[in-house]
Amino acid sequence: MLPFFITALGILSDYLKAAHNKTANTVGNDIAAVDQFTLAILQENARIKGAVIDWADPAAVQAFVATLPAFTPIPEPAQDLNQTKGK
Amino acid sequence: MKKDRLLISGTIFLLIACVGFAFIFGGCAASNLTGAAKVHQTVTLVLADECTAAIQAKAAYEAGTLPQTDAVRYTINDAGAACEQAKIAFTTALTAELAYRNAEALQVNACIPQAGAVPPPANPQCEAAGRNTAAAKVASDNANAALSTKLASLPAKAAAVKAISPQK
Repeated sequence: MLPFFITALGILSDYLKAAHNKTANTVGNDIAAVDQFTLAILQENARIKGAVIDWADPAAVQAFVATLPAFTPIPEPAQDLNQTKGK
Repeated sequence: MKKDRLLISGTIFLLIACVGFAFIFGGCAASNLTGAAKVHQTVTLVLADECTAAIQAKAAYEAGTLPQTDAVRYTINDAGAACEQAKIAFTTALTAELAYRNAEALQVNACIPQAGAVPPPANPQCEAAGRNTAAAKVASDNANAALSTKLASLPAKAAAVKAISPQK
């Protein structure tokens, strides 16, 4: 009886591992399909919601806001010299 | 061999259960914020959402996956600039809020009735503290109004960025 029970648990273990791997691959494909904006926003949201700070303290919130990624403008492309000749 | 597989499977199950409980309770902790704490976190989330969209779009533009045209560059820079201005407005509002809270605390201390002392409103220190608190409240209200204006412009600019079609 015991060997049968152990064998059944082993088969169940193999099934669960296979199901886990299939789920992981499916989730991975789904994540790949999500657009880059959504994924980046979700990651940043998770970081903010998981932050251990006193959200009621303005000074603490100021310090945390300073850690948000900063945007720097895209520079204008360099002027093509051939376009400015003759001007 | 089969016992090893059973042990590994059991360990994986326990790990998943522990991580699941951590997400459940961690998520509950984050949603228990109220009042000023909730407002501060919400504004931070809005800023992060909009700024991240602009930053991601800039990276895509520079990588060539978005059309490298003047119109696209302007749209991305416009969204990014609006985001940075909103951050500055938020920082200013937080500074004003802190100043208001400090003024209120000073007013409470200045207006505590002293035994045998002249009662308000003849207490000059209490009057001065009251004026300071009123001025700090006006400054805080103005800063919050400016912040609201900046935040209101963000969703449309972020939507414009997200609507840019990838380079074909």
